[in-house]
Amino acid sequence: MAHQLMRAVPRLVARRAFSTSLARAGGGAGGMPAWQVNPRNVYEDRPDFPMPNVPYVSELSDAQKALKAKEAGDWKSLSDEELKELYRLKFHKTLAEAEAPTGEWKTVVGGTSLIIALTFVLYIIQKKYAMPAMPETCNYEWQEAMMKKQLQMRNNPVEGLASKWDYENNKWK
Amino acid sequence: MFRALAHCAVNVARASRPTVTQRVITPSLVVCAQRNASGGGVMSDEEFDSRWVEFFSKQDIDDWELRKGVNTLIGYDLVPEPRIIVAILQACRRLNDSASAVRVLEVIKSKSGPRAKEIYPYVLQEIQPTLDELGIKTPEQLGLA
Repeated sequence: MAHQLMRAVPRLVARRAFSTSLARAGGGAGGMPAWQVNPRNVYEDRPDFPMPNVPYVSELSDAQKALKAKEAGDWKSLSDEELKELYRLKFHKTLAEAEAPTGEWKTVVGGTSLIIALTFVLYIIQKKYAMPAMPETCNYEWQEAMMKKQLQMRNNPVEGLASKWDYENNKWK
Repeated sequence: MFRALAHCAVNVARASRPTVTQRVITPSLVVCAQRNASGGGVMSDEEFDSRWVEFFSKQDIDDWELRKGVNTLIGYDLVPEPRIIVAILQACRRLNDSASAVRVLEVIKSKSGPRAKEIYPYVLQEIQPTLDELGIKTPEQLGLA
């Protein structure tokens, strides 16, 4: 409902015209522009609102009008196909079809994963080519030396780092 | 009214089981008085049903009233009684609207929710005479229209 109106607005704005001749843009009932249509009169299949205010097809061809006239008579004289056609004139999808799973979740998960993967790729590229080198102090030998100094200082001798070092045997406990 | 509590309607139905070889589906649900959320008067289930049947039985019911009635009725937390459905179908007939009749049957199934397998065949069984009389086919018979 709202998204139909939203789609119509840019088209109308771009053409800078609000006359009824351009009314076919999105959902106009009776040739009215979309933003003049009462949103309650837009067709929608909803299980909690099964009888929308407008039929799905409101402009009938001659054959369809003839069928409607036949509907005024005995329904037993209507074949299954005719009953189905009458249904589809009034309604777009059955409630079961409207509630059926769309598989949209696959698009969402796939799209999200794609974007996250792209992020990883961009990061790798920037790390390799754009970011400056890490400082010398981050290499392994330097870090070893730093830890050795911490142990010599007896850093956290009771519960922390130095408490895990066995000073008699010069190895980790 | 289909309110899931104990079962008492079952015994009554079993006592009057027909001798014809026709499967009779009996519901194992019972009715209870409807309470008004605004704290107003209590309306009994029978009165609720009767008022809705009366609404749809209006001879010169119009399109809008039918739609309004159905949309309101399915907003309640219940599956409408078969006699209300019969009244709706007859209103559809008066309005020459076979599509809405099929839609109403779909709505019953939808409203039955997880208990659709018990409730929907029962309702169809109860309204079968009306379906035959008016020539309405169920969504299943039409291939879900």
